[in-house]
Amino acid sequence: MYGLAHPHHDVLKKRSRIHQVERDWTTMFTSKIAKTLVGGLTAALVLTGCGRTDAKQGQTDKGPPIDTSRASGDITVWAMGTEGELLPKLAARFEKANPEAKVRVTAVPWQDYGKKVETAIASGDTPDATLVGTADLAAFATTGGLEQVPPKLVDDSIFYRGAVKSTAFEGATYGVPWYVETRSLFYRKDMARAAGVSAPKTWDEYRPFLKALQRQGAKWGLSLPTGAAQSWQSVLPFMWQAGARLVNKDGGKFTFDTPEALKGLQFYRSFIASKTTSPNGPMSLGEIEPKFVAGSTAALISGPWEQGLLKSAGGQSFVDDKVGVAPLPTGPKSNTSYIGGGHWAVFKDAKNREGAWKFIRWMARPDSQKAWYDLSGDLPAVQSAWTEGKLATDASMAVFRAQLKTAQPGPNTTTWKQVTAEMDAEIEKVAKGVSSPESALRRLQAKASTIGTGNRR
Amino acid sequence: MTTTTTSTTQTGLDLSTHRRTPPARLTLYAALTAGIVATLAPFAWMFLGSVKPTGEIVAHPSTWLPQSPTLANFEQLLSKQNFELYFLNSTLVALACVAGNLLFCSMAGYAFAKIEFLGKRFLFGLVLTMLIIPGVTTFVPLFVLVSNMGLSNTYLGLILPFLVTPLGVFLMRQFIRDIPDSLVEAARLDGAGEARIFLRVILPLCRPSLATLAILTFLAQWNNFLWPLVISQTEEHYTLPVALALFSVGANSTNYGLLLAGAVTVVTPIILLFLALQKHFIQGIANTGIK
Amino acid sequence: MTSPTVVKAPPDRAAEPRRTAPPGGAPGSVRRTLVAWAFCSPFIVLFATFGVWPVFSSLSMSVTDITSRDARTPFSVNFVGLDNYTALFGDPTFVRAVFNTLYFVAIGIPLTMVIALSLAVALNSGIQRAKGIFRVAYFAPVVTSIVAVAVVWRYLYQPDGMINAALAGIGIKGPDWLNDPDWSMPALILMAVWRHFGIPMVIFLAGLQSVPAELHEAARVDGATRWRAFRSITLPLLRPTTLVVAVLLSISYLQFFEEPFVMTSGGPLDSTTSISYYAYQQFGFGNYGMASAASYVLVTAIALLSFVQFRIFRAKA
Repeated sequence: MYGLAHPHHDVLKKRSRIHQVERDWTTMFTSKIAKTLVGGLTAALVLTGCGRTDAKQGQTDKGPPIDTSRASGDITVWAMGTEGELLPKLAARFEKANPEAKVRVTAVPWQDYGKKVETAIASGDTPDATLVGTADLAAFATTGGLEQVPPKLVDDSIFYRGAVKSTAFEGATYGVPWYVETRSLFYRKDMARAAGVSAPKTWDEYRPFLKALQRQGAKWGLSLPTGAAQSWQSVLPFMWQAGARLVNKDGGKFTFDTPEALKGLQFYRSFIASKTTSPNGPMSLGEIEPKFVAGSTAALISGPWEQGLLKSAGGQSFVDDKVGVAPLPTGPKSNTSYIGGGHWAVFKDAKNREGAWKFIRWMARPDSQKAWYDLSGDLPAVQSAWTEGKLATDASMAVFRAQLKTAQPGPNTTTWKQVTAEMDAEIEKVAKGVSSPESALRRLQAKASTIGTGNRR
Repeated sequence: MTTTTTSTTQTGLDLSTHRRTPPARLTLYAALTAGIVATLAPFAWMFLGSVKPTGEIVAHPSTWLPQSPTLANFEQLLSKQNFELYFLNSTLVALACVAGNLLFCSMAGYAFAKIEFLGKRFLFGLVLTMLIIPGVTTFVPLFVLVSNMGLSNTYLGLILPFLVTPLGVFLMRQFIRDIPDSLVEAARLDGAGEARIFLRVILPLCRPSLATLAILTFLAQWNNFLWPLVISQTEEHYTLPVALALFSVGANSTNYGLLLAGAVTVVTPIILLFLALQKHFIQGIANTGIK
Repeated sequence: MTSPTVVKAPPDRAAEPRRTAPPGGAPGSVRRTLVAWAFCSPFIVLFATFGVWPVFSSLSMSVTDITSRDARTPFSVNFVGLDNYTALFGDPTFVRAVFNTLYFVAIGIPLTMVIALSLAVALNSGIQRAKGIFRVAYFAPVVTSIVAVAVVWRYLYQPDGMINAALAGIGIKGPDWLNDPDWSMPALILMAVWRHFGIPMVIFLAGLQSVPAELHEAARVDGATRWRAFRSITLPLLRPTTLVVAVLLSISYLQFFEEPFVMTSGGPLDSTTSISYYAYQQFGFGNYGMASAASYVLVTAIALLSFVQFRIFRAKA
């Protein structure tokens, strides 16, 4: 530095290298961080000059209606995983009907796709439309980056009700359902046959059925998650089946502290307490299938994709001969299951919103839905697409179809993801026996209230 | 390292080895080999898993040797559209970042280590600060910035943010400090300019440190997932990890066979790189200062 | 012989010119500064743009109530001062995450360093044959994909897995590693050490090669035992290397994330939630302000730790 000739500096120079570094650190410590902090604070103070404008975003999200003329121009869309790899085949049909339009699909990994969508929205650098997991729609709509579905684009009554429900956020609609999935009971039908029992229809029959399978040599009757991410998707249905609603009517407040929710959680706990379910449930995807194939776990709750997984774990003959699929047993109120799947959403920063909505409208037609099922195996969200082929005749499809009619999504609130993380944590405490269901729900309610629904209404 | 300790032979403990009795050496070999078995087990499992069908990979209890070995995972992987492109993208991005880090970080490292200048302490303090800020913190602002520069979906957007790293500067500065000043002084007295000193004296002497930095940078970029994921708007700019996630990770399931075949594909180039560079990498910081 | 610079310091060092004495001219002259800045300029331009600026943005975020709601209008948010920071320390999960991170670092760093150094010494001194193969083998965990690592380690840690089988062999009944809140962290530490010792080992190897053989020889001639020679000659000479390793490890270990992410999701019962994992979750929830604040707590921790390390190493010198 400028003072090198200074004797004091000479002394310093003679000290060790490490001291030099250490000195840099000290300097940094006393000045750099402080300066940076002060700078950041100043910047933030400047920012606050702008402050929050409490305008409701709802109105501005709505675009003009979409006419029925042919689509034109480039339509850029994101679709995840296999859906993204296969979508161009479906899009080719759309392009045939709309020769002026070109659909450009980018296949995006499911892994961390939410980050991709959120960063794209934050920068305004988005495609026209994207596939969205049903549970993520509210989080994306929250950012203000999605356009509301134009009026009269599609008739909501053609879809499964649970699917439509998860497109709504703060009283507006942000997505068009595309495919659905729901969870039913998979069990070892060979073991059930040997034990002389048939699939349970009610909560009361549930445990005796599982115990009978356990007597056939299964270590565990039913596999349930015990705190791993997304455990809530398996526990929520128990609460619904007991009649619980988790948000109040206007969606402004969480209501976990109800007798119905408690009944559901207690029922979940009873599987573990009676050693029907392992307190150390699966932590990762793919963990449970081999145990099910080996017969050490006799039943699990899963969706349509499970058949493919069981096929690769145990072979086609295993699926044909040993796997039974039954609707979830009915609780005090219902046998409601969880509904997931994919919706289409259009970005506010879309360059070709008209083309995008027309493509989405086309994909919601029963024949397109049928074609997509043939391509991908994804279950159609449009009910009338289920009238022919395997969808109409297959026994396990009939189970999913019946389950879909009443299946429900999680509450569509801004903060749902955060609340579910708390819920997973409380589920874990209940599963491991370190907390009673009562106090778990009390804590969950307290936390959920603090977090709030985040909805602006 | 200095002009006085010229004959640094192999090692500090090497001499004692000659006096070591055969049984002692045998024990050492045995211990090292046992260590290697333990260390390599998961690595071997990955390679063996890549030639198993998915059902066998997740089977419980797990087995080491494939019961029905298959190349199906690799066939599936290689049959994916654009696979070569993703591989090339990864290579291009990683190599560009390596080149940038080697050149720019050693230049800056040289200035920090061997030149006294105005603002040095401030700059270096900043480098040290940045060294410790986790990437997750700056992710969103960085994306907005790069996107506003119009660089999303470009190779520049993939490369520029990682072309220099504070870690690279820190390492190069530490290493270049080890080079005796007398060498630099001698060159300066001969009238060489700083650029010439840097190119002719410093760079040849920091081959091991450059190799270290090259491996660290390559490793980090080759495995980078989140940034290439968000910055590419079309598949043309995907790198290998993004493509592998696309192929093997579903909404509700994971194709472990494809995943492990992919992991093997990703790891092999790094192993080759390490094999090629390890000589430089390890051989001799000892050689740095003496010739 | 105790100063870490001893290797570089010739006996007649005092008589030598200053380390970086400029040829003639005033030190720190304008020309010199210009040259240095020119050398730094490519770095500075890129670093300022892609490094410093985003940090400024995120630091400002940590004192506002910004959430993903404001993603499109990041400037219309409210200044909340240090509220995010106080909220963090009011959250038992975060406090637990701080504790877990310190636990991980306090055990993990020394353990990694001891293993890396022992291996480096063994590889450096004991063997002539197959050196390259040994090195590459011990480096392999560094490059193995985290997914493969997760699958196989989850298997190893099963109650009836290989680790417990080995323990049973010596008469110990192993715990259910990943499902027991007391053992989950040791399990992850072990895995992290395995995954991370390769690079320090290689750096130590490089450092060992710069230890002059004569010094050792002299010590041995003087009758010092091998261990003593190692302690009083090799170790002090390795101090600069050790410092680099310690700093590198602190930086990566304090950002402890991947292991809980792939193995335990922070559980069981928050026993492996780290600060990084907590911040990652907050980002996922869209709480950008909170997430940034958590990150800067981490930054402060890393800075403090590195600072302490420099102190310790200097004190010993």
